[in-house]
Amino acid sequence: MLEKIIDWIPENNRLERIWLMAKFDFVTRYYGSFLGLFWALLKPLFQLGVFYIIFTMVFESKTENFLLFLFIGIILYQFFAESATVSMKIFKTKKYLLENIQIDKLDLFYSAIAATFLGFIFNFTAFVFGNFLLNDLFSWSMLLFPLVLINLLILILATQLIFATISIYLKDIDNIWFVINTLLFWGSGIFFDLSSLTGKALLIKYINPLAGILMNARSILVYAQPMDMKLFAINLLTSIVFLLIGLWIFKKYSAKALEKL
Amino acid sequence: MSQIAIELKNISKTYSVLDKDSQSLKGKIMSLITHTNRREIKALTNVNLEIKKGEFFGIMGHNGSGKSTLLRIMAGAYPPDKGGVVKMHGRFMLLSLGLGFNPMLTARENIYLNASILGLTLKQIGVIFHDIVAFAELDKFVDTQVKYYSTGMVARLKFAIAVHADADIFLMDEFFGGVGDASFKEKSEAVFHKSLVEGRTIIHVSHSIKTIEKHCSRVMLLHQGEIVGIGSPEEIIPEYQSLSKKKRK
Repeated sequence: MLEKIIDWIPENNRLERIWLMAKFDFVTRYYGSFLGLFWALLKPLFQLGVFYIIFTMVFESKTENFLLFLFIGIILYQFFAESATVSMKIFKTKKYLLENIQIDKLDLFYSAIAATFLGFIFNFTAFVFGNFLLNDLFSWSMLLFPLVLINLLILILATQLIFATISIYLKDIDNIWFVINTLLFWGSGIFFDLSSLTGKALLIKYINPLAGILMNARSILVYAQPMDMKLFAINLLTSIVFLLIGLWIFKKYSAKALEKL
Repeated sequence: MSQIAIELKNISKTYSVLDKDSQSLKGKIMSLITHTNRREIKALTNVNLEIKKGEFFGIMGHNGSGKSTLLRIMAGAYPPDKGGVVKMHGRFMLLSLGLGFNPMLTARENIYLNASILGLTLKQIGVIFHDIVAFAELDKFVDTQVKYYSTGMVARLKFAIAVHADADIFLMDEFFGGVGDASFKEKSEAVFHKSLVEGRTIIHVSHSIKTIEKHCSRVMLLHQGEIVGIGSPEEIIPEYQSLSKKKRK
């Protein structure tokens, strides 16, 4: 079946190459580990369990449909954070290709995103099942989710390019990422509803595109609400600006990536 | 006029070496203030070179003469200093004895990956796949992770891919000679001759006078990052030997 679909797709060497790299990346990440592929699903489920227990029992969260609210937040954020982590080591892990064979460096990023995206698809499928079972709301606005996803992908590529380039020059990028990761984790509203904030604090959804992306994803997927188009437009614009900055930094400063390893 | 495969203009390479602790944020800030822990090492000075399509070109020189740096600049792994121009006309593959594969992947996966990057479609790879495996004599280990391979097996696989996936330019770093057993050596020598006819370009970096003498049509001698001479093996090998003698004294 799959073979037939693949046959039908016109041949494109670049896409094939990106797909191959992504597939092998994904496979090696879980190769030979005891639970194999299940880790991809187990990690967010574990986080979900812990946060759910803490926030319902200890903090008594009043958020409606909190389990699904939390689940989609965790997997979207994990997709972002994992992609960022991968990018900081991308020149090291892909040295064997960069040194030996002519390859467009950007392809490495596309394939890295595709590999992490495969993991995301696993989790998202689980979310869709959960949503179907536990949520009786439905709206056609759910079909707008790919728009939110495209926004996230742009933001991820931008982040990867910036982090990968910085990692060439700063070896303590891991620690810097720890700080940023912590700020983003708490500042993106993963386990509390940012829309309950008032006044200037509400601006965070415009400043931090991740926060806006999470809000819009939840509105349409969990609460069957229409998408906040103004928020979406601002988040998208911010992400595109980030991407342009990322591409510029990458083009200008990544040439010495290998000799500085 | 025969076509050019590789053009190098004004290639210089300066490595800027930092002391270890200056690669952290604190170190970076400190070095901005003190300017002390940056040292510059000149690896190549003003190399100009044109290599024609189909040439078997040798590069000789002692350790630290800049051979490998030059090869890495050709492969696009390292950028030359400002003003340097590298033009590669064709698809190339660097063949060195270090692991050029992902050790966690099997030979099958590495073949697909490398051939795809060289520009072949999956269908085309499917067609030549068995030729690659047979040439590398790895039939029984196709689905073994490359980390279990010996150096010789890796080298054979790499060479087989480069040959069958039709790389136009081979950049060989001490690759040839000492690889594989007698039967494989015979095979690769045969291919070398055939490939010359087919118009493949081969850059062969080596200490081995024997292989340079046997295969190369032109040789370049590098010493401390500068070209000492370019010419036939008969002209250049004696120069290399006299440099060796001076070094020993």
